[in-house]
Amino acid sequence: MRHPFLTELFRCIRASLTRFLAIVAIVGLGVGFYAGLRMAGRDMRTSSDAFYDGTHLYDLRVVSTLGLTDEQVESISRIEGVDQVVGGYAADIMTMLNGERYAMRIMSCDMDAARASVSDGGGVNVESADERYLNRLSLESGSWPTEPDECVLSADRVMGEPIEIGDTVEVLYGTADLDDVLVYRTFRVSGLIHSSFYPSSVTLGYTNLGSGQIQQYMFVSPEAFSDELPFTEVFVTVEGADALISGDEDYLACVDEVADRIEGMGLPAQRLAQIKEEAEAELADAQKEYDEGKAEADEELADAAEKLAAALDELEDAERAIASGQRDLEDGIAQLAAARAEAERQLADARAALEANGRRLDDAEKQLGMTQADIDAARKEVAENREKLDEAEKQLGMTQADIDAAHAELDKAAAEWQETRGQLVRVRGDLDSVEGAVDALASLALIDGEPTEEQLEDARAKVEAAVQAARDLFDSGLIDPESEEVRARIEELAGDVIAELEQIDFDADPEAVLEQLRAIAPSVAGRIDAAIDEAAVQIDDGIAQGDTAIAEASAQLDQAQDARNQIDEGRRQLDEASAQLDQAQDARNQIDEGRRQLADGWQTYYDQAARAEQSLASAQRTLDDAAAQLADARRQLEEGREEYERGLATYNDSLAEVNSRLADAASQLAAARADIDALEEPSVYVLDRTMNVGIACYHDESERIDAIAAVFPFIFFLVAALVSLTTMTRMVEDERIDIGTHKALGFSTARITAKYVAYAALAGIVGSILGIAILSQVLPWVVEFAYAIIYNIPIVMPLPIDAGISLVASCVGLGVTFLAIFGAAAATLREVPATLMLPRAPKAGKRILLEHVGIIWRNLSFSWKVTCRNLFRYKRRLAMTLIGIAGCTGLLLTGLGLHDSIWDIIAYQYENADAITRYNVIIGMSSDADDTDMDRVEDVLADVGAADGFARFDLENMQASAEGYSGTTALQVNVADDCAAFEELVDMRTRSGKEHIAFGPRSVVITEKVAKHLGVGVGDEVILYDQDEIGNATGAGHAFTITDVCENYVYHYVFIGADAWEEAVGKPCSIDSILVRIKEGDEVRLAVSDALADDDAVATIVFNTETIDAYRKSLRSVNLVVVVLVAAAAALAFIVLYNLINIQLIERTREIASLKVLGFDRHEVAAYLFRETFLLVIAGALIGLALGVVMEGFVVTTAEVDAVMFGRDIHLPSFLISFGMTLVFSFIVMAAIMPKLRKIDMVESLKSVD
Amino acid sequence: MAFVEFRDVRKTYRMGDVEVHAVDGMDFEIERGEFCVIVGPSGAGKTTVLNMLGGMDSVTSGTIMLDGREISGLSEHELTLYRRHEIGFVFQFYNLVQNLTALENVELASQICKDPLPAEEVLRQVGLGERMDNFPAQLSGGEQQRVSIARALAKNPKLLLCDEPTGALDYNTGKQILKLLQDTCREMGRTVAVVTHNSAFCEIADRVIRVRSGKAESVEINEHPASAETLEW
Repeated sequence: MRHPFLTELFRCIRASLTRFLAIVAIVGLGVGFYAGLRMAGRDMRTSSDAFYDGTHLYDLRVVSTLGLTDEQVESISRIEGVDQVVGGYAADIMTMLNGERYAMRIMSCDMDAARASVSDGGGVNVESADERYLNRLSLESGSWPTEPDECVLSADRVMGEPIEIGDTVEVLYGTADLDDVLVYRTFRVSGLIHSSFYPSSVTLGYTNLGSGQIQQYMFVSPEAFSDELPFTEVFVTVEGADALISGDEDYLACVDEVADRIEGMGLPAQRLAQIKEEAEAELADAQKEYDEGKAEADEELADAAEKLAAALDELEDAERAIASGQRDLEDGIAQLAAARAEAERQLADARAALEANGRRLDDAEKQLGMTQADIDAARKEVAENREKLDEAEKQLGMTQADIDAAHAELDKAAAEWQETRGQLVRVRGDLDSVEGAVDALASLALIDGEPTEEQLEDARAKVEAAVQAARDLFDSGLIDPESEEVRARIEELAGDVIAELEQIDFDADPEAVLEQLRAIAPSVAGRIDAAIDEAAVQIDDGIAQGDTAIAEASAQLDQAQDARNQIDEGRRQLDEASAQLDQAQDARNQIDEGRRQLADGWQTYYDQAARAEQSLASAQRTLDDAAAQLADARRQLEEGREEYERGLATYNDSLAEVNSRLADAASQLAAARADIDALEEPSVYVLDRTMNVGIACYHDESERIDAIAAVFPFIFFLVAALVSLTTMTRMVEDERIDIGTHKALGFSTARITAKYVAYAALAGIVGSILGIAILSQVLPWVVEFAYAIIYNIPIVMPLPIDAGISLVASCVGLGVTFLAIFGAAAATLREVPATLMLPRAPKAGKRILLEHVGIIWRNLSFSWKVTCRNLFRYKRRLAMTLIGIAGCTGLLLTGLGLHDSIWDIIAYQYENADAITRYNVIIGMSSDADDTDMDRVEDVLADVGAADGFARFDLENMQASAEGYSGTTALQVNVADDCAAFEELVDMRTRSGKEHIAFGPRSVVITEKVAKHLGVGVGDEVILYDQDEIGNATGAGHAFTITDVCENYVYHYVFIGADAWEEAVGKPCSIDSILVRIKEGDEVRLAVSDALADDDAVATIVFNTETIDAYRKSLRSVNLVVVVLVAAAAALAFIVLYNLINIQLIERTREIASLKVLGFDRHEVAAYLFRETFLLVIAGALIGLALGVVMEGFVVTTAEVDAVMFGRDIHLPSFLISFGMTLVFSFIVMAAIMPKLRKIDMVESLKSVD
Repeated sequence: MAFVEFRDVRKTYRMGDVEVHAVDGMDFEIERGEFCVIVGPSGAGKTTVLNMLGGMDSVTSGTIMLDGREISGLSEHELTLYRRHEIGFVFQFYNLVQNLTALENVELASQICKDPLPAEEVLRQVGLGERMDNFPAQLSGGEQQRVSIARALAKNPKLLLCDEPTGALDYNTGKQILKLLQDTCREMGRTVAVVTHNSAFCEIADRVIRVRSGKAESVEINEHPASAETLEW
């Protein structure tokens, strides 16, 4: 059977799911945030403990100023509570890697055990069969060293130049004499590792080398350390300590108990006795060595004296041999001179003969005047001309015979022409006769009267003659036969004429004849005339043409003849030239032959000369050799003599030196004796993990998170309470009548209340579970992830959920909801059923304070008046919204402000125009460098790095303390004698007010953070101690009175004037470092590094950029924190606003519907409703800004890392962004609500109030 | 043409698979200056008529005209303006803004319309000259309803729509409110439509529209309406 109570409860939840979820969410957020943050610090410690235990990290580290031996290891292992003990070696060294200098710590590690070990769980656990393998390493890349000159380096440390497997680490020098420490000076990098000994990748520890910070560590096998070296440290694990969380009080108690035992076992005395014993043995050895050495030296001196005497004898023999040699040499020189004269004469004769022959040949050649080339050129010309003639002849194409034949033909043709011409002339004459006939015929016509018979006859004869003439003419064929047309016409004409004439009947009546004649005569005469004229022209033309043709042919023939003649003449000339050339060639050949013979003669001459010269030279060489040998012998003699002198001197010196050395040795022996007698007990320290810088830092970080966790969730709980309260109040009001009905039905108040309690409990429980489940994983993970950037401690997931914290958180969460439900329901439940059954009287309107300020109130519009009154009508909601929104803005501002503060470190310290650090390089000089070296280095820097500022100072890494401060803290002391130069590169000023601090010889200026840490101010005393290799304060310390406190963000400094230093310390400072300002840029840095790399006077070069990069990287973790804060802020804003507006909407549905009916449009309605929210958001955000400043201040001071001071300013944009984002969040919620607002039906306004 | 006209107006709601005809072919007219009572039993469709006439709901079909303008086809925005400028609405439960005084409640409405009547004057007209600065919680039901009427009148509307204006009031107060509405009609010449289930009100109306099953069952013209003071129920 279903339980009606539960059914009702679940229906109620389902009906108001948003409301339920809102409570769940806000409770979840509050509980989860609280639990998550509270667990984060715890989880960090758990993770680190898992890492330390998994890698068998030491619990105690025993170090001694005189080292430790197996004997001490043995005795420590016998102490109660000690689990494993193993000795190790370590040394601080300055190294060169990839061209850069790094201060490193070199440590020993059992590499055989390391090779056999197995790493799992992301390096959390390293399994090894060797229980004595402590401080186990896990290999990141490469391989374990197999040779003693191989090493592994940290994989976590970011170096200027990435380390490659196979790189070489060169050891330059160390804090102690390296000969006593290391067997090797170079180590090959075989792999990169993680070490739990160095969990921080930023702070590895402090050293006296370089800038004071260890920059890298390396592990090598113990064989790399000198056999003579005692253990420098002994690592101890404590029984039962791994079951406890490292750094917790019970852990420290457990470990310190054993530490006390070790301290109480008298290790110093034991070690002293051991050392004394060893020293005595060594002294005895030395004495023996001295005695032996003395005897040996005496013997050697006697030998030397004997050798010197023998040498003197040898020298005298040599002198005699040289004199004889000199004589032989002079004879040889004379003979050679005679032979040379004879040879020269013979050669001169031969030369004269040859020269005469030469001159003759020259003459002959001059006569010829033609070289072989000239002849060849002439021949070539002749040949060319011949070719030209042949060409001309070919063109002419006619031989003499052809020409003659042509002449004959021409003559024949001319003769023939003359004949034809005659015929033509004759015909021409015939033509004239024809003409005469025609004229006669014509004259007939002119006869008056009757012609006479004769006349007739004459005419007839004439006509016939004419006809005949015409016929003849044509028959003659002289007329150009081609003029067939003319001929035809003449023929026709003649025919016609004849025909006509024949028709004349001379037999007829003369009258008639005459008539006829008269009739035809003119026409016949005309026509004949024409024919004759035409023929005459033709004949004349023919004659003229014939003449011309003959003349032309004759002329052509003459031309041909001329050409022929020219060719022939040319040929003749060429033949002549050829002949001349042949002659010239002969002459030429003769000359050439002569020359050849002459050259042969010369060759012979030269050969003879050379032979003569050779034999002479050879003779000369022999002589020279002899002379050289002689000189050599002389020199040797000279050297021998000098050597003898030197030997003598050396002998005398040695004698003196041996005596003095023996005396020295004797006094050293005496001093050693005294030293042994003066030996004191060494200091032995038993250090727990809190003395490991990296481990201690991580532990501090986790405690900082605890501090933050204590404050932040408070806001969420407060908001959760208010959200629950308002929501529950609304719910109870909604169910008034229900409650009344139940009461009226006789249900007890408890029974009715139970439903609401159950509702609240359910919301609280679900919220708590969800919140814890999600945020207790997410938040610690985010925190650990953020720290993973600087710490190599692996995150172990899933993170443990701390039952205690979860319970507390859940209880608070539940308590909040219960409080809310009681607050909401109490009043209602007290009422009697009757009143409950009635709708609750609407909350009366009330006048507010503002209304009394007439000026303002009168000028407000109604909507604003309503808004103002509403604001103060629901005070719970007002509080909820203001706190929620203020929390949101506050968180945003905290996040952004934190971001500002942290990035300001770099900006204020290095990058701003008015940054504190004005230098960008620190040059550390080696211990034996002097002023000249510094001058030289500065010159190089000015040259290569364009450096424009230098300040020399004394850099000391010291420990500081003050009255009322227990322990010491590390800082850097800079002592300057040129205060003006120093001030130029380090801007000293107060943080607030930025007042300049004058730095003088008597100034003692301490940086702000460390001053606060030590609890000192101006006028107080700070005590500075020297530190030993482990960073312990040694000596009595020197008190300084602080003159000023200056602004500084990175690391801690005390700047001291030289006079103040000398006064306090009792001796002047030793200037050993230079601050330099060089030009910015990678190339400049590289150039400076290169330029100083080989300078022995320079020990270290530290560029600020390296420091800046390291800080940048380590501070990036903060961005993640900012994201978390922003997300939390958004969640807060959404939940609060959504809840607020939702309640308003439900409560005022009727009012809104009425407004709609009155004609308010969508925007007016929205404005009416949201104006309130908006005002609340603005007010909340403004409060939030103030809250944010406070929270940011808290977080900054809490979260601050020891080595730096965070900026204390929140930038204006952060305020604006926080404010703006809060507004944006509220706009988003309002926009989300808008559809709901639009959906409100106007009909709601008509409904009754129930 | 009549001042208000309903022509074959239908309103159908879909409730799941069932279609409910809330108004099913409604026809009636109201003349300018009339005091009209729309009466009918619960569920007859009179509230739907009121909603549609008041511009709070759209019609499914048919036309509604007010002063010669068709309002049945107006867009949502036009309806908002219509409600704002032409309709005065009197609610059964007054619906006053609790956080504003009587005067401010009236001004709240008048500030959004074009040609409002002076708020104080209207309040004096409805007899609340002395109580203007009181909050609704400090006023009796009748006084609150007067404020509600004043708020509607201050907008200078063409039509005053009243939804059961006496529903939440006792007898005497109800009568006074009816009197006020009748006087408003008589003296100011305003057209008033009262929706009620109480047929006793018919006596004082110029026009009585009886509604049943989504239809105008009858329309009666009262030549001599009684005064609200004499009304008894």
